[in-house]
Parts: sequence; structure tokens; C-alpha cells
Amino acid sequence: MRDEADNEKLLTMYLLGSLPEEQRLQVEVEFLSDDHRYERLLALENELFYDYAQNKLSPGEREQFEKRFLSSELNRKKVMIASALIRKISESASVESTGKSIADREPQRFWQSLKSYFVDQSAAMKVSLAASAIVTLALIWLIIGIVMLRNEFDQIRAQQMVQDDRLRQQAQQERARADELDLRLKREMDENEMLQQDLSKMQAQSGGHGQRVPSVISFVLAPSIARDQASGMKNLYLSPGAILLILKLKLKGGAEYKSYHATLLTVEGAERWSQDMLQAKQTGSGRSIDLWLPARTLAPGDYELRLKGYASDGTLEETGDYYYLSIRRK
Amino acid sequence: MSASISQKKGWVISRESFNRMLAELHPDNERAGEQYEKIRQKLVKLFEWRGCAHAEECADETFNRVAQKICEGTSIWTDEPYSYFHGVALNVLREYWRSVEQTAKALEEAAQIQELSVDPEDLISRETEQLEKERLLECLNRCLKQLPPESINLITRYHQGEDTPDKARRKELAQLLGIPLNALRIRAYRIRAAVEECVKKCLERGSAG
Repeated sequence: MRDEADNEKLLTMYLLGSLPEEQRLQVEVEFLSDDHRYERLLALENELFYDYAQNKLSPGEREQFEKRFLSSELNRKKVMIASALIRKISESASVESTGKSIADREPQRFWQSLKSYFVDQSAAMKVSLAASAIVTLALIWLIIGIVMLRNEFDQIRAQQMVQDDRLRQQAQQERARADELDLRLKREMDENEMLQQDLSKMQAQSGGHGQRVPSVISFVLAPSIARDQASGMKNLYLSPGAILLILKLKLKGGAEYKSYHATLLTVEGAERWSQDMLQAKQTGSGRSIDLWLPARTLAPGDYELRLKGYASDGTLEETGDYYYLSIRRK
Repeated sequence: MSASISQKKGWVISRESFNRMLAELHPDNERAGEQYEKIRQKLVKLFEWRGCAHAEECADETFNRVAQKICEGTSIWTDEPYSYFHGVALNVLREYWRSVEQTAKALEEAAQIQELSVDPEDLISRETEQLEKERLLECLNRCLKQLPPESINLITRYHQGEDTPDKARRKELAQLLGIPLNALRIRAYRIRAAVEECVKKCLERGSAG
């Protein structure tokens, strides 16, 4: 051990440039031909930077170190890194040392006693202990494998459950939508039936007088240029016998929607009538939508007709088309 | 090299002479390349440890001279190529020191060396700006995170401990790990060198970006 310490001192002196020439050559011959000695010298050199950063060098060594190493930019950077690393590990060590000092000693004692236990055993005992160790390792490996497989299976099952839930929700939404459509269809069929009844009644009444009263009135309505009731208002005269009003809404060129929703509002903003799932059709003069309104529901007055469109993702958007009409009775 | 040492007699190494030198190092090309790299690294360190400020250039000049000898038909090998390289390197070094003595610039550099700071903390504050320090710490934190916990534990124990002297503590640590003190020193060195390399690369990336 004494030789070891001497050798370390000698190598440190070589690195600091204070070794006599003869010994210096000897050190160089050794590290040039021996990779292990060379790496040892590299380790000692690197350690000098840390000793310097920690103020562990003697004043003489410190001066030699500065003279020898700190003339290069690269080495000055190395001192900075060493200094920062030392500070960092001191910080972490001071945080951990209070909590871990006792805990660390126990595993060391355990490890040392375990080590001495193995060293003391006979050869046969060592073989049998090694075999047991292999079996134990194999068992641990098997258990780890099973646990990993189980985790994987649980993950797949959880994913499956999430997917099932999503499908269930989709089915419920589809069912609700179908119910709503059924209801709307029924309502429109009832309305249609009532209109048919009114029409037959009117035809019977007018037949006796030899007078033809138009029962279905068709009216083309273009969108207003501005959202302004005064300028966009169109007058519509309904005869007393009118039963059905067909409003042909001209659409502007803008966006195309899957279907449309129309709402008829009074000037006070009260909703009078609405219809959903309207389809636009192409005509010679552009695209339009036909609205079939029962004439009796329309009291004389001013109305606004709002049109919204269903986008491809199902959301309802303003089309930007506004229609204004004034209903009058003849 | 121009300021420190001139090429001997204006001789320039050619590919052919370099290949001949490699062939002398080892008959197998790949092994010869490895040998060349190893010898070059060692020569660079030798020049550095001898206080040469142009270590890389001096190492290359050593190779040039060895290659020239081979081209001139000199048999250079005994049992061991290193001793020949060593001898040539010492000649290059002597010439280097002579040139240093002759140039005023080198004398100025030497004077600057005498005025170097004492405290590494002062060195940091003088050499770098606050931002640079922050960047260094950021890189260091990042690099330490990449280290396995046992490596951090080892260098912490190797360097840290105010109650016991370094030697006693390191001896105890080496015993605990069941390795000789030298092996422990090399192990700690490899960890520190990996951190330093990582920080260096991180800083370079920072300054490039």
C-alpha cells in the first residue's frame, strides 16, 4: 500500500510537471506501452481538476496546476464543469445524507454479512447454493413474466370496455335521432291529413257557387340583401280559401349544407312555425327550398324567416340568408 | 504549428508514406488504424503533460517524422513501437521549447499563466456571464439525469464526505464494492468523463442553436 501511495504521488508530480527528467521519462515509457497505466494517469489528471475545484490541493500543487493546466481554454472549461458538478453533488448529498445515513449502513452490513456467509461455505455447499440461486432467479423471471402478461391483458380489457361504451353511446344517440324523426314524420302526416280535409271542405263549398278559389298558393321568396326588414319585406296576399302556402326560398350561392332548418318568426320574435330536414333542390334559376305551410296558421302581419343549415359534422349553422314577408288577407 | 515548430526539412507526408507507416504498425489495416489512433491520443497527452500548448500539432509532427524515417528506409521497430515514437516526440518537444523561447508571443502567454486566478469560484464568475453559468447548470442537470443512480451515488461518495479524509473514505468504498482502489479511481473517472463529455456536447448544441 505504501508503494501504491508513493506511485500516486509520483504520477501526480509528473502531471504537475515537478518530477525530475529521469523519472518523467520512466513514467512516459510506462504509459505509452501500457493502456491500463495510461488510463490511470488520465483518471489522476481528471481528479486533479476536481481536487482543484474543491480546494484540496496544497498551495504549491495549486500553483503548479494553474501553471500547467489553466493556460488552455479547454481546461478552464473543465474546471468550471468540475466545480459545478462538485457543487451539485454536495447539494444532493446534504439533502440525502440526513435521511439516508442510517438506512445506507444497514444494507451495507447485510451485504457484507451475506458476502462473508458465501465465502465461508464449502465447495459442495457453494454448488448447491448456486443451483438454488439459479432456480430462484428462474422463478423470479417467471413471476415477472406472468405479472407483465396480466398487466397487458388488463390493458387490453380496459381498452375493450372503453370501445364498448363508445359503441353503446353511439347506438343510443342513433336511436334517439330515429325516435325524433318518427315523431316529426307523424306530426307532418297529421298536418297533411288536416290540410287534405280543409281542401275537400273548401272544394265542396266552392262547387255550389261555381267559383274557383285558389287553395294552394305558391310564392317565390328571394333572400334579402341586407338584414333589414324594411327594405327586404315582400307582401303576400292570402285569399280566404287558401289552405296551403308553398314558399319557394331562393338560396344564395354560398355554402352548401346537407339539409336545412327553417323557422318563421313574428316581428316580436315569437316562433310561429318551423320545419327541419329540408332538402335544397337545383332549379333552372339556382338552388331553392320548398316550404309547405298551412295557411290558417298565418295570421296577417310581418314575419321573418330564418334559415339554418346542417354542416357535415351535424352542427347547425346560420346560412346568412334572411327572408322577410308580410302576410295580408284579401 | 507554424508558430511553434516547423516541419523538418520541408518534408510533407504523402498518402503512400502514411500507409507505409500504418503497415509497419500492424499488417491488418483496421488494427493498424486503431494502433495509430491509440498512439496519437497518448502522444497528445504526453505533449500536454509536458506543458506544450500545441499538443495535437506536435503529435502530428511526430508521426510525420516517423513516416519520413520509414520512407528513407530506416528500420524503426525494436520489439515495441512506442519507444521509437517516444524518442521522436522528445525531439519534437525540444524544438518546440526552443521556438517558444524565441518568440515574444509565447513569452507573453507564459507571463499570463503566472497571473492566473486562485479560486475556481472567481474563475467562473470572471470567465462566464450569468447566462452561460445557467446554461452550464442546465446542461449538468440534464446530463446527471441520464446517469444511473448507482453512478451518481458512486461519484458522490467518492468526492463527498467532510468528516473523513478522501483516502480513508475511498478505501472504504473500494472495499465495499470489492475492487482495488485503482479500479475505483478509474470507475469514478469514467463516470465524470461521461458527464463532462455530455455537458460539453450540450453546451456546444446550445451555442450552435
